[in-house]
Amino acid sequence: MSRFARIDHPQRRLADEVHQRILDAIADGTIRSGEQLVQDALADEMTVSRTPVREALLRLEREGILEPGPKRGFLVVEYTVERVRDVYQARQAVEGFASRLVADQASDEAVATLDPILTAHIATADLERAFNEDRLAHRAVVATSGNTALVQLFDSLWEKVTLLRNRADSWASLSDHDHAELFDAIAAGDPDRAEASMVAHIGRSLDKQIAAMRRS
Amino acid sequence: MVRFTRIGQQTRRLADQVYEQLHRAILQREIEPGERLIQETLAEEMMVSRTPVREALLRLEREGLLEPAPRRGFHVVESTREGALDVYEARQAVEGFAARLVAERATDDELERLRPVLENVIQVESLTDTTEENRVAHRAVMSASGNDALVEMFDLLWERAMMLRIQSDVWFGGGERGDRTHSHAEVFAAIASGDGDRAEMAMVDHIRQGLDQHLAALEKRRNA
Repeated sequence: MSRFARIDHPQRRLADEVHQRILDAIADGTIRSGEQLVQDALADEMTVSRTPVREALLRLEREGILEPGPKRGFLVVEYTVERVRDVYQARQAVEGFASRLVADQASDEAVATLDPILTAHIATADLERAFNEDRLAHRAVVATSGNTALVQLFDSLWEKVTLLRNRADSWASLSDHDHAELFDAIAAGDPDRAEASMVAHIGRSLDKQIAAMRRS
Repeated sequence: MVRFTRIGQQTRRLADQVYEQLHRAILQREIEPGERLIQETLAEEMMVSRTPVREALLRLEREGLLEPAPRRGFHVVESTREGALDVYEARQAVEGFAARLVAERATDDELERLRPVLENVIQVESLTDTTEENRVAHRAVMSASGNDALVEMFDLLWERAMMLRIQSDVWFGGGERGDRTHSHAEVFAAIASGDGDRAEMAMVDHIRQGLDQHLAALEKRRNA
């Protein structure tokens, strides 16, 4: 008898890993917009076979992060103000509605889960960490709605937000106040106020993001 | 029965072609609920290598049409009450927000382009949730919002919703046929009023009606 379960999709994990590494490289500026990405070169660089690299590149293309480039390669799509606005507006739709659902239920359990997460202070010294804490706070709200389809949409939108993380400098300072306000509305079981609070918060983040893009 | 045609090597990307064939087969119910889809078998059937088949299967999994089968392979995601609630609720979020944007921002010209699509009465008898006319009408509102990210989310949700819907309608006896055209006209009137709250509410209500029909079909199946 074998002691170990058969691993069905070893390549899937690898393709996910490659996908994440390319996203990270775009986010931290190692790969710049307009830069050409070639499957074989990336495979050599990461010392993996071409299959997972190809899978990751095709997925990034479908996600609108890459576009086809010359000689069967890919280019990083440039982030315009319009694209950023689209993504943040879509976040307002998904996260605003999720906030409404959570406030509508306002179960003791949901409130207890979100309390420490939304009232925590997000330190701005480490930008990378602050970004991640902010993302997890927002994700917690959506996950607490219990709707897996909304969580899936959230994750795909935040993949794009992640690409912009080094452009915005001060949204974390905004998060403390806004998150506490959102929590109040949820704890009070007020769906209208919870949705409005989340939508306004994302709107302010968008303004900061656009201001940062215009400065750079 | 041959469900998949042989794929020529020359044209578009193989993985896309495999994806399209599987996608069509799923939506046309040529794949039975619970049927196991195995990479190697499909590759042989389509006479391609396993790599593009795997790419296509993983993409369908990410899109929520397939889920890993116990031990090995994938099967089509089954329609459950929770699954239907999640997807239709997410549609309310995305399409309700888009209807608000259109109400608040669309120009008169844009509204006039939207009107015939939503007031289309040609197929009153056959217009159910799963018809192409219905998709076109809903997608027109999304496009009119001018937001590509919202349209992208709509496309993902629509496929999942329709796959669940088709299962419950066809495998387990049809859902009720409501007066969908009338309902679309109401959504249009709310959008054209320029009142964002009203437009969002009209769209959300309209989608809830679709959900109710879907749940009624599931209920029938449970009682059958």
